[in-house]
Amino acid sequence: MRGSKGRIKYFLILPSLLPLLFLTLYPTIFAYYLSIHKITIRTFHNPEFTGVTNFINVAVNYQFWYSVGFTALYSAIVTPIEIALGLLLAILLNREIYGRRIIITLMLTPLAIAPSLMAIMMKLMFNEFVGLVPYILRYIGVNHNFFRDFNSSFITLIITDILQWTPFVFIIAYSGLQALPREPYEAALIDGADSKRIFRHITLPLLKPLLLLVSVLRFMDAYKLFEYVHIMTGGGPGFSTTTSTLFTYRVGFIHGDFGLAAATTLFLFYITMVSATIGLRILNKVRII
Amino acid sequence: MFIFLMPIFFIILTSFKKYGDIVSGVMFPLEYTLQNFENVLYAPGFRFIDFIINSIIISSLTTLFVVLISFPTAYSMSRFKTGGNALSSYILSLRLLPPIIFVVPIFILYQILGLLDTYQGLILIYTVFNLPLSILVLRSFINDIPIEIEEAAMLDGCSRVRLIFRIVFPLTFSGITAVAILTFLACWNEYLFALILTLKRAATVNVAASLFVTAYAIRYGEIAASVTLSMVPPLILILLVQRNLVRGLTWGAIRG
Repeated sequence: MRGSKGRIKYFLILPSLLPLLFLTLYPTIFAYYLSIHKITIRTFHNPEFTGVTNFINVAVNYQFWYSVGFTALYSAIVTPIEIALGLLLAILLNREIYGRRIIITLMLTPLAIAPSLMAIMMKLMFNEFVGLVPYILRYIGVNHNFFRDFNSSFITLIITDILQWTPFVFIIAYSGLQALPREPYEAALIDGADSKRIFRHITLPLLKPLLLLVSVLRFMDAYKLFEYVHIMTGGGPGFSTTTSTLFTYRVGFIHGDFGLAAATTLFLFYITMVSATIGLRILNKVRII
Repeated sequence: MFIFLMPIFFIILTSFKKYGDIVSGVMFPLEYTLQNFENVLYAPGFRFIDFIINSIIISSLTTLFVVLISFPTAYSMSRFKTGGNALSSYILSLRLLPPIIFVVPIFILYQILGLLDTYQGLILIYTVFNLPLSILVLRSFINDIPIEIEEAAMLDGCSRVRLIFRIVFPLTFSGITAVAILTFLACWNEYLFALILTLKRAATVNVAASLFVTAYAIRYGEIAASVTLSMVPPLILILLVQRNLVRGLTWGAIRG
């Protein structure tokens, strides 16, 4: 009995473990091979060995490091705003309000929409000729092109991210609030605590594991940013809103330099591995996984 | 609150507007039209309906494979603690890393194998990418099933494989629904791989919609109509099954 159980448990995980291992090992090993060669669309079949040239080219590339920093800044800005807004909405809706179910259903809809479609929508929303936002701004006498300077483009991207992903934080925080035990609240009320203190000393600590989970997920997902910049700003004006993903995409698939793109990929792998490890540590500590 | 719905409302409104009204900046015109949808659906040489079919085929088959492959793994990890914490951390880390780091090697592999711009190619990569999340979510659902049911079945002489597919599988139905919806949405909405690994034959609907942005430039009505068409199926799906969704979104962290 024990023996058969021992074998079957590994047999059961093989169908997923093999593809996952392949997904981890093959690209990593192959990326090393690619990155030490000059391999472009033209030299696809006879790549030329170039040693560490590609790595040096990435390491001294100002645009690469700029994109790494820009993406980190972007994630660091949107994550706390979305957590705060989502939590606030969850608390506001966590009481008997007329039409609550419908509001919650409507709040879910941005999550079903592809980020790429969201990007197209927002591009039209902020379009200087047909967009709703410039239309409203014209009423108060402001004429503004949102994609001409860095600050406006950056703000437009942040607004897009907030509109799409605050509902994600909201729905998780809301379910968390609904699942909280009643007893601590009753005890606190008997002790005469006011609502501010109840929130700080009971609600927040109880929600902490969930909020950490959402923060890690949001930060790591925000770092993957590609659709918004690819469609809305094209990484511009100039180079100012290029994310790591867009940079790598450009190197590999617009300039067609696969060797350099592979080297970029490896740099990114190690950079994001650091934040992923920190994220995993946090999640392990609060026993989410 | 309704600010979150503004873009959706705006794009649907725009998709029904006449070209003249759009470019002259009329926000709420008196007359509306279906012309934009006609132009999108029957555009010569760029049949939008084909892309919708592509998306349906790719997303449904991926969903099927993901559920079938991840379920036994989730069962094994839940009941036998296979791999322990190391395995679940490994699986989770795959979900946290940005997909761009896998794209270049996979593109070249597909180039060699002739998988570029095929259904098989996209289905394969989507299946692998959606495994981590569904394993973790399903594992949490299986954790909730009392083990006594299985012990009773084992005593009655039920084999392990039969047990998994005849007893545990139906009991985890809400978890499977959650995983299926999340996978379907993820495939339908995926952009990076679809953009790089397909050209035209297997392009999905939201890549096609974004191609419209460049192809049509200032034909805002057609762009809006294509966006509206592409977001209809996911919206219907999420409205139908929202109850199962929350737990899936939180990786099973919240017991719904």
